[in-house]
Amino acid sequence: MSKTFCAKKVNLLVVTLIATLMCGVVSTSEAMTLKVWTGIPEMIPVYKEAMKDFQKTHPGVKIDPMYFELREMERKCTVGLPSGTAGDIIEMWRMPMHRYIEKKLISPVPSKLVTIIKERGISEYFPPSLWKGTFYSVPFYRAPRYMFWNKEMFREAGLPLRAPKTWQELIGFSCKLAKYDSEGRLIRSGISLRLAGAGSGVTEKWWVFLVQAGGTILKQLPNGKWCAAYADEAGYETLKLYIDLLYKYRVNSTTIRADADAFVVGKTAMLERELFVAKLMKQRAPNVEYGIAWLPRYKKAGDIMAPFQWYVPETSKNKTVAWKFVEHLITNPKYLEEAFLVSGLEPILTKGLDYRKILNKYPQYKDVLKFPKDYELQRYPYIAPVDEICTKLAARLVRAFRDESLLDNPKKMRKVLTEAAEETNSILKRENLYGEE
Amino acid sequence: MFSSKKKLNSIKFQQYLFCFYVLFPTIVIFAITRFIPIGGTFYLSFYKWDFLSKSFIGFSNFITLFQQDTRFHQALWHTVLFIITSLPLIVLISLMIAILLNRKIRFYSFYEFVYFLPAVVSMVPITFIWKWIYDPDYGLLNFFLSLLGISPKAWLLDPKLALGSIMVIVIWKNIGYYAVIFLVGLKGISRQYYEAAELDGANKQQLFVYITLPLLKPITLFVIVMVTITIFNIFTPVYVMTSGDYNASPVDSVRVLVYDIYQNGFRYYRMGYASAESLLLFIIVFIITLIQLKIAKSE
Repeated sequence: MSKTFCAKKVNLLVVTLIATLMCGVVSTSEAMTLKVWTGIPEMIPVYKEAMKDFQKTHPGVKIDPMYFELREMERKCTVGLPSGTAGDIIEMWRMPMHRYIEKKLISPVPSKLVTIIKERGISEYFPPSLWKGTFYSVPFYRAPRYMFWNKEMFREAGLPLRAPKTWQELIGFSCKLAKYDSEGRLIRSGISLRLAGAGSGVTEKWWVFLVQAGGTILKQLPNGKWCAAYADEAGYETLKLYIDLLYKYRVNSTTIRADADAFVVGKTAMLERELFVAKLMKQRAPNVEYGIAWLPRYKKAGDIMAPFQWYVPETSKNKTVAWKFVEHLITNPKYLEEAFLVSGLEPILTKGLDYRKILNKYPQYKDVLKFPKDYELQRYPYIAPVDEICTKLAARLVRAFRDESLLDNPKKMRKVLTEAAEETNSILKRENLYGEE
Repeated sequence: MFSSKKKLNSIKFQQYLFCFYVLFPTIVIFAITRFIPIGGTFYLSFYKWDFLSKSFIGFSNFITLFQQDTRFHQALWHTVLFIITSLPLIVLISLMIAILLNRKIRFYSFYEFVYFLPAVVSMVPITFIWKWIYDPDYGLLNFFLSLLGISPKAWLLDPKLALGSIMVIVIWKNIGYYAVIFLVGLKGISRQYYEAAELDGANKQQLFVYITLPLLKPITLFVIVMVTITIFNIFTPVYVMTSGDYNASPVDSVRVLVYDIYQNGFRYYRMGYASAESLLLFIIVFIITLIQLKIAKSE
């Protein structure tokens, strides 16, 4: 009897132990914290809200969204991804992530999610998610540039109430919109161009005009190698446009307030920028009447694309749940709508989005709802030194923009571009990426 | 006799051991935070390393630095220019302030506080404040100059003015700190020397040249070495002044060594190359400091 009792006790103990262990296993599989790295502080409440719903089907999963300034996040990835200490979900654009994709540090997107992406998204923005036919990221927002134009200033200048459609109109409109003080100093620019800054941003903005002139920054040759492509007619015309706007027409200057800030405070009449400007206008200049339009065309219509995507590191311990959470984000349009509303982030996966709310907040957006058919979207080349190339070209462009002697001096302008292209090619040579045409 | 010598040796050994025990934690910390990174930098300078893959390339980084990298040459020149201009100004102005503060003046503590304040505040907010002061449209500097009939200048945007504008910030931030250092030195000079010289008929100028300056020599040397090291390591004001899309200095006009190292290492992921640059910077600072110490010693 006592033996049976003892055996029973042992059995009970074993069962309890197994049950406890199983509970432990179950609870550890669910009890986890997803670290989400974002470059947009307004996304933190959106992620937290999405997690609340996610927890209904995945109890025990918590979220820890962390905001980093973009460049800071790029550097964190440099250390975090190889060492396996990066976030479980990283919001980032393709260019800095490519080297990690090549080194297999980024997890491929599960096939179920790929099907959802293809069903729901704007296909023009898929290439930055792909590498050798495989999706390595889930498209989030696209950040194209639009022409922001101040309606009040257009009215005042007697211009038609629409944005310029061509480069010729851009110059003509700018001339009428620019304002000067009694001593002839520019006090309001016709169009604000990116003329300063240490990073690659100057090149990026110049590149947009270069696309419209029919050019590009780097060309890939049939043998897979690369070479500088901007020291050509398109490059010359783009540089000439900048120099003419600065020194011939004097509709912009290197010393006047620039960029989104200038548009918000009425120091410029036109600006080519991403939709975040609309958010700024809502916050800081809610009464200013302005419009949003597609960029003007020259030989082509177009832009460069640097959409942001969600990446999951291969080394993440919570990889499966991380992908599930991304799936949860993209299959519930309310989160993407919220991201759009709070931060002007235009989703690439547009299916199911209720544009009424968005248009209610940003009525100007109705003019760019439909994606133009002949709009060329160039993407950053997926090569390691592209940031170095763009940053070093930017430094040369900044110097050129300050050089008034370039005006009506095609030889000098071409020299600027040729010397810059030589530097670009030397970087490509150093990395064994250079090829001659 | 032999046993007393042995005893003495044993006591000495125990003293050494005690010193070693006391210093050991500091040595360990210093090794981890200083010697190992310096050694690592030396090692990496012979490699091509982008955080993901590493390959030995011998002296290639150094050869490229000296033969091809015009930006490195530019950065080195700007840094040297920075030192040639700022070092004497910082030393002279801070010494002048210290001499003024050393007199029995009213509100002494207030002035000391005012001059020392920039040294306490972090470089980032200071640089941002100066960025506003230098603003071509709304800047205080242009406003005050306009009262004198001087036309506004683009202090940070004009390539000819940008480096000088940053130098002003560095000088302004450092003079207060070094004035206090000089002040400590001045207060350490005994009144007896001055009284004796006055009895011999020395005037104020002679007192300064023959008593104050020679007795301040160790402090002056310390200030010169520290300012040299500080200026060679200038990064924050250049980084802040070149950031942003408006009122940002042209990078090529203000590029200094540490900024170039930062760009190569953390923007272009050329850690081996940045290490080679860092090593050169270390060697330059080390040699200059040795020369300064040697000159001071020989005098």
